[in-house]
Amino acid sequence: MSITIVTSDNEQFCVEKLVAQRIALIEDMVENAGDRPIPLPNVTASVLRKILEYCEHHKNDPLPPYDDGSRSRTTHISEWDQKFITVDQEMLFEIILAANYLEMKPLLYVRLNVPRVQCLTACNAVAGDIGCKTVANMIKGKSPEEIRKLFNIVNNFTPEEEAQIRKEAEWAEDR
Amino acid sequence: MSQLQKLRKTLSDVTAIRNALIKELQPFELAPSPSLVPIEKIPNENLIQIFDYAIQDCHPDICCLLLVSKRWHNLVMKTSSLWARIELVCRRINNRPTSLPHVSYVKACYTRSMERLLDVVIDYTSFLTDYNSRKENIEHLTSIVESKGESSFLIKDLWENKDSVFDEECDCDDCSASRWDEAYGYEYEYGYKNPRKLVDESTEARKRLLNRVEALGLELGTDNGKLMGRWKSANILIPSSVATTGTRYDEKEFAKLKKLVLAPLVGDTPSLLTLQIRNIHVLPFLKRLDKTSRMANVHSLTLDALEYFPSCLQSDALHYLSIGHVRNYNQLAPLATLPSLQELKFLNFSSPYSYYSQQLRLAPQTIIRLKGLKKLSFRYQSHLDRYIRFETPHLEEVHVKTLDDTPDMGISTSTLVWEPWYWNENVSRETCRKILDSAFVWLGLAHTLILRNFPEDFVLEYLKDREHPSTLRVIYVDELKGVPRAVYVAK
Repeated sequence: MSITIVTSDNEQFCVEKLVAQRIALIEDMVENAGDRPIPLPNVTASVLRKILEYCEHHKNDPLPPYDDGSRSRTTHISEWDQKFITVDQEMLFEIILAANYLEMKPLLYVRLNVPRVQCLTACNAVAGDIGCKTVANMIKGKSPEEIRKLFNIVNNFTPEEEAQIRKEAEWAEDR
Repeated sequence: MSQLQKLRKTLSDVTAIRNALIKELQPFELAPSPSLVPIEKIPNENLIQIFDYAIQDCHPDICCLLLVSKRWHNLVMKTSSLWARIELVCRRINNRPTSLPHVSYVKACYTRSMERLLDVVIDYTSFLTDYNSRKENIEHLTSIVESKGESSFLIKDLWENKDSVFDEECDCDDCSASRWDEAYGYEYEYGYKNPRKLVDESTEARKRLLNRVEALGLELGTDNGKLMGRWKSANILIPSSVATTGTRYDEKEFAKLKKLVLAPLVGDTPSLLTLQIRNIHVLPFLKRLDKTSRMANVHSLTLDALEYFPSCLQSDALHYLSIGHVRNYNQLAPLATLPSLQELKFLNFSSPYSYYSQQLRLAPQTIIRLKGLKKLSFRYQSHLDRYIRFETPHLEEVHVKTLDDTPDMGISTSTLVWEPWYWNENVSRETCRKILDSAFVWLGLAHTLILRNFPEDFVLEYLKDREHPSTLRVIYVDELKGVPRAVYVAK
């Protein structure tokens, strides 16, 4: 069984229901939409294509257990996911935004009342989470100046404010 | 003045202010708008997640996030969860000397985490020995010289002849000590001290580091350890008398290090759920524990040796126990206390070295009855079968990581996970077959076998010649690349 999704730039996608099930927002809409196409006004075709590529690849993965914060988290990204997320910065942030909008989070599995564990290896990562990990890995070990340069962030501190923060974080030199 | 005139005056004043503000804002409108920068579109919720990941390997790096922009600063400052960790790890960053965070970092974490429970990591296993300290100085000097585009050959050459370099008595012309003098014009050129002074330098460096250890200890245990009441997990790792690099610590200095780390930790830890300790015999905050109070909540305990398993470390709530390095007969006695851990669900033995004493070899077998145990795990334990027998009626999974054939321990389980210690092209096929043969000896009545980290093609070839017990329902190969694949399913 498949469903039709319409993106903000009016492109239609015919998606297998099993794949769409990975997306909480769509899961909710399917029930009310009947046979009508599901509109996604906040997601463009290029971004949805990426998200669906991710869902398609991971559709048979065991459902991840609910993250209650007690498990040790890692920034490791698997080989396929690494290739998937090797995109330009603009797309990287669009994927994070879209995943956030589409509610592609482990929370989904709590809502679906999926019992915990009993899976051999859980693919805990969802597209947005991989995006966040990727950005985090880009930040790791960099100085504030390097981070600003990397993401084109404007330093909007006054010199006085910056000096004050440096004073408060005096371990910056000794970490 | 009539009401109308008053209103006109107010309108005129407001218009003037508006115009002034528009003029003031004009230059900013020409500057790149933050809204055009992709990362600025990310909602706070995701940005916090990014920050959380970014500081996972080095929490003190949180200071870098504070200095990026006002938005980042405000978000980090008001997100108490980002501060709910204190990480004191001896680190080398960018080839600079090994250091520890400033004491203000601990203060900031305690304060900005609000009332949250804290994860505390004290890892001084890379604390400097005298040799390592000198080596660091040499490496630092080398990097300075190389960054100037000059050859560091002489420094490296002289370091290899270090015995005479550090011979303070030697002042003759033809020994290497004089070559240092000759070479180190660097002292003046790069503001770096004469390498012959490295002995003093290294002593000073270690003294500074010890002072920092002392200050951090006092801050952690501030107010008689009152804030330790918020510790949720503690990893306290100190080095053994021989550093990981194989060089020895100065005895007095080492004793002082241990004292400075541990002595201030006297507070109660009622919230402590997870504890890992290494090379520690007695922790002040555990020393005066009785079973019913402060340790009552610890459900996960990781020890580097059974000898660090005194009665005060036992807790009725203990669900996870991991023990490393069972090598000596002296470490066997505490095994007898294991069955008192009625709630224990997961027990892990980790003995990565094949060495064990003759005494251990001759030790009598101990029976360990753990009725509640669900998972038992061994990381290379080819000798444990000789002296432990498990009676674990409700065991669901046994996980063995091994590097050779492994004697059967006769443990009954429903799922067996078998994994080679490592896998690469240098491991002979004969060894691989031996490892897999052991798995089938261990199988017993297990209905699921998971072969983790074995290449699928090798397993398929192996299984061609192998008969499976009738109780075995399924074999999975888990190459750790994604989802495990079923390579055998009973008809």
